Amino acid sequence: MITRGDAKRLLLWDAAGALGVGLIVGFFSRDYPYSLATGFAMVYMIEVFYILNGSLLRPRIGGLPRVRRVLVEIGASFGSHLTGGVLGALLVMFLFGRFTILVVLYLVAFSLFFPAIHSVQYVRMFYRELRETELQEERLKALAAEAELKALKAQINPHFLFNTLNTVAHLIRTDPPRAEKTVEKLAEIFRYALIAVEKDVVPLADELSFVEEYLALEHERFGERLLVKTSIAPHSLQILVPPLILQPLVENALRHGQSPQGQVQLNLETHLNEQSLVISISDRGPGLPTHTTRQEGTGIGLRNVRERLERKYGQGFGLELAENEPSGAKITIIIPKEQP
Amino acid sequence: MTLRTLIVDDEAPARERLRNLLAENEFVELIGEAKDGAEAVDRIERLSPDLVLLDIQMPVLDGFEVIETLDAPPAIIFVTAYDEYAIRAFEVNALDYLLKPFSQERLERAIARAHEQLAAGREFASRIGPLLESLREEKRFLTRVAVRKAGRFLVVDVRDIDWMEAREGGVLLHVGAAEHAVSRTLTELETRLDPSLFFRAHRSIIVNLDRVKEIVPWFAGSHRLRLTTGAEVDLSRSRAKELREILGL
Repeated sequence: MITRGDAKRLLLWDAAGALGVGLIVGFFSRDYPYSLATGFAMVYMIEVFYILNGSLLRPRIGGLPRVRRVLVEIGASFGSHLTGGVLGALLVMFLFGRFTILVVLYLVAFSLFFPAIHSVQYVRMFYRELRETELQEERLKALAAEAELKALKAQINPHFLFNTLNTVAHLIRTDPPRAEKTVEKLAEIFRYALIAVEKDVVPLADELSFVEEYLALEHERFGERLLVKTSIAPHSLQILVPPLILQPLVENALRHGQSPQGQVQLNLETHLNEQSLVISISDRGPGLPTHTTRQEGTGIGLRNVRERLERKYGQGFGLELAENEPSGAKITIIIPKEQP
Repeated sequence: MTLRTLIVDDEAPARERLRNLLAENEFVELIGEAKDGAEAVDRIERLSPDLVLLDIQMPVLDGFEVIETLDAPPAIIFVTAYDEYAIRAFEVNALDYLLKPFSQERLERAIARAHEQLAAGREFASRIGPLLESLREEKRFLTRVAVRKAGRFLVVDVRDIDWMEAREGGVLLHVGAAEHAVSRTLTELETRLDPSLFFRAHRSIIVNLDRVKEIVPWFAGSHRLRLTTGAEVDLSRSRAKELREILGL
């Protein structure tokens, strides 16, 4: 939109321009009234159309694709200059009763020269916008990649690491062979996490043995408070799944699925449907908090897994959180049997 | 003087490690252990130890919730595996903490310092208030409250509390059909509860925003709140406007 300040400035600059050109042309043609009148008439007629064009057209073309918007702007610039110029010329003819080569020169200058300058500006603007969009897209891509990496990094909880190290510090004195075993398992876990991050998919069998190692260490810490039952469909083992999706869910169950006495009963099951692999992890804890719906997860780990599955597989696959029967919470993930 | 010391940790190996490392310590007399927050509150009240080695991440009640449940907490050395928020809160309030796995030297230094401070008669309890304040600034709100019922502790999830009212000598929590008394002030509770879940409706009343069903006009321009449980509580005139804003009315 053109503000009052803009209008004032435009009118003044136009006056200066018309006066300047009119005086110069008048000096050569020795006909000051005619050349000044022609200059003012044309410049202001053009301005009227150009402003009209700007305020009527611009709000309507914002939604057009960029190339078409630039073409429309250029066309409108030529159109409004030509219309304004011709009307200005007609006005001068009407006032002075004569038509000279001077008017033609003015017309050519105003209705071709200025729109040409405008066109150059529009095209330059077009390229600048285009480059900015590209930069923006690159930035977004980098951000997404970083988010993915962060998500994966966050999945082995530092809390788990330091608590396990504490257990090791204890076992070194009291039970060195068990300390040794624990350190080996810890190494396995971190090695898997580091290698799996690089992979797009891994066999479910790998994920399961990783979770088994992880649970063995948690068992060291939880003692008899942790009870795990697994039931794995044999044919599901070779199915390919994204890496590091099970451990965050198990960790989530350990954290939120504790009974008031701090006990955890974990149930890990897989089975195959016609199209998909279904993995469920349930606990016998307090169940979902009253304000949680099936759609939203609670922890960061859960949200990461959900987002990764949804991005990868789209509709019909992903993660669901529900009440478990007879008590506790149940997380189900559904993955296509065949990778897309 | 020896410090009568209680160990609180949910992991057996961690408790055993502390027990071993402290066995020969000249300042320490171990008087017991607790394996979760509720047990910790119970042991602290019954045994009144001089010093507690308190793990932070535990089931039922975490270390901070244990402190909040106690009327007069003893001296505490916090123990944590990894918790950047808690560590910041300790640093700010110059409280001693141990990071797992800690060395024998580090543990001994912490014990010696606690001994020195207790011998000099320095109050530990006075430094707890600011700690809880810092935790609130870190947006670590109270999620559970321990209440005493017939000599034992019951843990209430704050989201299950419908509303609470100030009573003489404490606060009465209304949880469904049950009522539990806790010995804290309403203002204390207000400062530790998540303001997106709870609202101070009146000088003597806090309501769970999830339970607010409607605002009912009452006499002389005042209002009352009708809760989904059927209860009706006072809403002071000055708070009515803010509540309308929160609820988007």
